[in-house]
Amino acid sequence: MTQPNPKRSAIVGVGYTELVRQSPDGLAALAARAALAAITDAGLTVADIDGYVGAPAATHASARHVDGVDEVSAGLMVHDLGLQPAWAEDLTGFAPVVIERAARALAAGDCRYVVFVRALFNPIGVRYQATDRPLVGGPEQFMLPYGISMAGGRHSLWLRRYMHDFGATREELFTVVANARAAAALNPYAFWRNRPLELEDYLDSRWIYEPMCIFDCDMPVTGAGAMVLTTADRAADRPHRAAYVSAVAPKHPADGTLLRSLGIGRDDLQAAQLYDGYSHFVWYWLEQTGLVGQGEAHTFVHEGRTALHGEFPVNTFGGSLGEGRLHGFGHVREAAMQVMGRAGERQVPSMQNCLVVTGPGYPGLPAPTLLITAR
Amino acid sequence: MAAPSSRPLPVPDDLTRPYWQAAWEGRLELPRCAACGRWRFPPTPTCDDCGSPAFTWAPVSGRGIVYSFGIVHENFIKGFDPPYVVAQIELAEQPGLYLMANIVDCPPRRVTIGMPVTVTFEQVSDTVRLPQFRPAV
Repeated sequence: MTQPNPKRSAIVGVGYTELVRQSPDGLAALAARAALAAITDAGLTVADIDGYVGAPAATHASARHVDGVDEVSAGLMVHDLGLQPAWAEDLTGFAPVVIERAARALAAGDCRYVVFVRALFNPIGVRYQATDRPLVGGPEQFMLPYGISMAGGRHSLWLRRYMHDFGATREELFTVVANARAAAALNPYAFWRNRPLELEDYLDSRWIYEPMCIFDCDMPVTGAGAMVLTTADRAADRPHRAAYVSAVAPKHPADGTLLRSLGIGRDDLQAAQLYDGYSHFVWYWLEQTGLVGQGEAHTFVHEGRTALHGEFPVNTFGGSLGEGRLHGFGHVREAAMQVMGRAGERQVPSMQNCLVVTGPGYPGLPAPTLLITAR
Repeated sequence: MAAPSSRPLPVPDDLTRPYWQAAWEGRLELPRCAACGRWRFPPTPTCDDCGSPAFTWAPVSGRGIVYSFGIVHENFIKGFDPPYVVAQIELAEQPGLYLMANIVDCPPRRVTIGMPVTVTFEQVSDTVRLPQFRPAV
């Protein structure tokens, strides 16, 4: 394990808005609300915040990329929150990319308290992943002319091949979704709270990319999350127990070596938050981090071992499948809440170390990783 | 699938133009590393294996197997009429040499992993023929 370092980062406050399909509030207002909630949660005021970092990209095919409409830039947030930051930046990538950069800014002394914001918008009146572009270049020239969208197409193919190679079944994949719904029931922010799903309804649901059905996809939502980070030495003065960022590896290879290179085993972790934009990503990340062996994840999950009260809880807040699509921000928030001991009914006992991997699970892509710890 | 003319069409660039030109002429050609002989697709400026920037365009057999496939049921992309099959073809030339295409001349429910397929060319505009795959006879 990483030795305690006074300059390593810690999460000291979190803020969230309600996650809904569509909101009458503009995205900038939601992002500001989440940011202010995180700042208050950290026992700070806007005047204390001297760093801002966001990951504004709307990644779906029908996104318009308009600041304040479906994306929220650092410039807009600095203005709307009335920040006077020494450092403000927008980054592209999942939370570990953002947190690594924030950690470096904090360790270098560029700033003392950084607020990190992620806001997602579900457009009204257009199909989320629809595209009608007549001409396509770059990597899309080998995909869209065949009716293959970049987002879902290749993932369904990976899923079919996995099922073929390891004898995995849709009944087993349903366990991922059922676990998500069960944990979401205890998450006040979750879109799918209080909406359990029966196997029969899952099996009868409509296909999106067969063998992937509608319930294998997370729900596009409108909402925002934020967190405040500072250095470990300052974190001790904050009202809540800190959640330390003890390892951050935005580009770690997804080749089963992650735990080994962190110098830990599964027994050193009390839980993991594994990105589940599609349900089978949970299988993928369990195996590609080295938490379980190749081809073992589908039975490991189906046996109930990753359920909230199982021996190795995964996605204790319901994941994106249960909570809604915040592109992995919820996974980091939950890891922080768990190690802070603030997860309420979802609290995992003796919670010390939580692994977070937030990125799409597909061969060749990295495993953006955080190790969030109580000490 | 619906009227081809309304589908998205590829815009060739310097790296991909020989691919589309060959396809228009009814040949499947891929970049092959001039240093180590490794095939690669999609086209990239350097070899995935040895890193050499030197490559040539060379014809492949057009034979392969269905490594995996999905059936698209939702209409996300204009010009398509679900359900239709998208497949990852593993070409005979090299393990792990993949190409994405539709499986044509075959009902979606008859497609299987491991099925032998062979290339065919589907004209979708006045200037574009798409390499597609159909069951090998």
